[in-house]
Amino acid sequence: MFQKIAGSKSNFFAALLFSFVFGVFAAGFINFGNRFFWPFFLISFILTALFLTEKIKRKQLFLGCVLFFFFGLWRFVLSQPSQSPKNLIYYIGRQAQVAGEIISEPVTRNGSQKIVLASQRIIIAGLAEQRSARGKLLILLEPHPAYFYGQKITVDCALEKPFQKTGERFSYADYLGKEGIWVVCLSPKILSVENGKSNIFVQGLIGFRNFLAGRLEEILQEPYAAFAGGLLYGARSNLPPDLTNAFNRTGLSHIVAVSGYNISVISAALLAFLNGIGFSRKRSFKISLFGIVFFVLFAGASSSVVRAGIMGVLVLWAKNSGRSGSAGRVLLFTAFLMLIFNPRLLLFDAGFQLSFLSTIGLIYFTPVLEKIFYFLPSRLGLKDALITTFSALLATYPLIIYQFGRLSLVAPVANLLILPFIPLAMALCFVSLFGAVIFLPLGQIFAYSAWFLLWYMIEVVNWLSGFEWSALELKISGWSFVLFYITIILFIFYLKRKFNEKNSF
Amino acid sequence: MKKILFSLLIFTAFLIGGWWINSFRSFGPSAVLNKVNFLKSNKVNSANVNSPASALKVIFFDIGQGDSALILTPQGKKILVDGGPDDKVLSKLGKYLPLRDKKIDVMILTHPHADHLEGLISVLRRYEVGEVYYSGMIHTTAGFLEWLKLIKEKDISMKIIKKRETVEIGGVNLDFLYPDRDLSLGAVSSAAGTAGGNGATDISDSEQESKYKSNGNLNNTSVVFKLSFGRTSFLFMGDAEKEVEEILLKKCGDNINDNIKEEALNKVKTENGDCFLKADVLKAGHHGSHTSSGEEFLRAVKPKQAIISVGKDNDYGHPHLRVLRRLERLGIKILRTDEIGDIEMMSDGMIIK
Repeated sequence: MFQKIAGSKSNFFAALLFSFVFGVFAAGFINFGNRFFWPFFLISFILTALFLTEKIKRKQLFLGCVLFFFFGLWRFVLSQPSQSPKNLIYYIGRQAQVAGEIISEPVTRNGSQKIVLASQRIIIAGLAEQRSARGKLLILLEPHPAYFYGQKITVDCALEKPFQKTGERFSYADYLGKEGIWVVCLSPKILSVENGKSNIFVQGLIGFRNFLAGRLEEILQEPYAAFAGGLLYGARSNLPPDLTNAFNRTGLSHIVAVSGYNISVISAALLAFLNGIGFSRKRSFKISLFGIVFFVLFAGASSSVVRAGIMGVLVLWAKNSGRSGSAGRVLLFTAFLMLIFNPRLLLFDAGFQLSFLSTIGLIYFTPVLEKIFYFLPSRLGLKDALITTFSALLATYPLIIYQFGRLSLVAPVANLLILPFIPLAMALCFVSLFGAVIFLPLGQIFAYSAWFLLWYMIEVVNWLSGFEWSALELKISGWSFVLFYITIILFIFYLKRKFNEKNSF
Repeated sequence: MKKILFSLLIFTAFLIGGWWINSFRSFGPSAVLNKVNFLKSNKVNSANVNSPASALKVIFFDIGQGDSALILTPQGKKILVDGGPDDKVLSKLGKYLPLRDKKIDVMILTHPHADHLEGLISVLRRYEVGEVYYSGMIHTTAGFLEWLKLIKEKDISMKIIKKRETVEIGGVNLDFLYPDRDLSLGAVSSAAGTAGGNGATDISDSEQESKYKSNGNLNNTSVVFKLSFGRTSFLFMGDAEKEVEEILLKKCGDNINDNIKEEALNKVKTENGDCFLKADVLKAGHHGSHTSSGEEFLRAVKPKQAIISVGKDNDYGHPHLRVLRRLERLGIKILRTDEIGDIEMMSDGMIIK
């Protein structure tokens, strides 16, 4: 087998990439601090020299894997925050005045406004001098007044570490850390606000999105407007908390949360729908692709959204080309690139994990499930939509249980009842919004059609989430989590072999 | 061509279906439907409720830890009392109002605490609001300032409640019982002036003012009003505490007030001896906290039902056990939003259901 991998160029390459991913995983798991920077760097350096001079393919493969493993370790260590006075982290525990710029659109949810500030200058209480200290600062504020992307503010606050709820697996510090935020400010006092020069492209995008959101709000009521926004451009933060909870309990959060999971499931459903109503394969592929780009731009084009978009395109491409082997390698390469940019995603970003696993599910499980559910009607892309969902569900179920401690029992039914209607709902929302942009009363009339489906879906979700047993609280250990996946993979392998045997008769 | 026609057909089907279901589940016709059932069960006094639009509907929203209620008057006016602590009120309005209905005729803010105010800010942004009623008490939180700013921006007229008065809206009467004096800052001095330059009252007034500024007693600036339709009535307490209840009780005897209209006056007379506070439904003050709903007050109001608008497992321990026991002892039925969700009540002018 070793020989086989070493012989094929693409497999050789895949093995290296996999080693890198594994290295990042190991480093994150052990959580190496940044004092390992130089040792890992040196080892990598020596290994590179050995790797390049080695002539025997098999030995070269082995050296390459070890090298990429250390690359992975080293890359993770590099992502640890540095403890220098130039970094904001250095001042944790102090009272300080921080001046900086708001670098993403503030999110108002559950009665508080969250701002991410890129600090530029800092004045420590008690010291007169001004220092330059860089770093991102998360500020929690009252919902009013609202702040905007691009504003320059000075804030007085006690710099703190992100708080950790005891006895919870979810680590808030790691969650923020993956976005490069290590410092939070819970009791801020805003000292000054001025409008800075910000990225005009992003500003324009935000402005246009707000315009569209405003139109949606005019033609629909809550929670339908927020739901439509979630479907069309992933504006999830406006959804009322109880509805978000209902979506979680029914295993449907992927339809409104921006993640690769969401984009790949929805674009696959869209593709199936377009195919179903008679568009050619090529054209529906193009329309779906356009949909993804639209979605990514309007969801704010933040790094996580762009990641999600890439995953979505990948799945589309895999479905279109029908070559799961090469799609798998491309997925690995994509993961490799993303981890080079941000190695903390692998362990600390549930969205990344979900996207990754669901994509694996869509690539490898779909062909098998297609053979099991051959009897389903394929009208309006119903069958395709269902098969894609179930593949994604199967691949992500254990992770969802592990990460969120929740097992949705109604998820299959909920997906069955809701997913087939998503593309149609998106289309109707789009038409209504389009109508509202041209002429508001027109949009108001069109909105009845969109409202109908949105209403249906929300009623179903509320109904299904209302049972005592619709979601179970379940805590599983890391080992049973791994065991879970091994079982699923073996099961799929078994099915695949069985179908292959059948075909050979 | 066929494809386009087919899509158009589907679109129209959804359009009509959506319109039909929306009108069916929304305020107008559903009220009629309820009414039919209602009439079936209560054959008495049906003479009063012949026209379909002659029912009053009051919905106390399950809004979490906070207060919010929507009053739909027999003549189709919409009165929103408080907005709860967040945007949830928007979803509630979306649930009870038809899709095209984006107007609130009267918005009442009882007092400027966030659990009553926040939702109203979003409502001001999304809905066309006809008029705002408020005590005039100035508060300095960002949320309150935002609320004021929006009212000013949208050029909505604000009515300051500063004495007992009755307002007729859409077929119901709103009898404002409190505040009985002007609480807006600018008017404080003039109020003291009319008191006859009496030094003592002057000081006590300003003392009270400063007390109101402290957090706890803002509750006692709550607008308290009685909603009455025919012989049925609802008493909205806001977060008013025992101090306000005592002030109201003191006036219990002198029913006759210059501002009460003739009919209301007649009503008071026929209710021989009953305090003007008497109401069928009481929205218990301050989410059922022990600072409110005193025994004497409850005896004067004599409600059949008490609404407690409260969030599940809230940090304040509302409602207080003592208040619940007191209500039980007096034979008052307790309805809690955290237990039964939104509370819908209908009145035909005679009976509340």
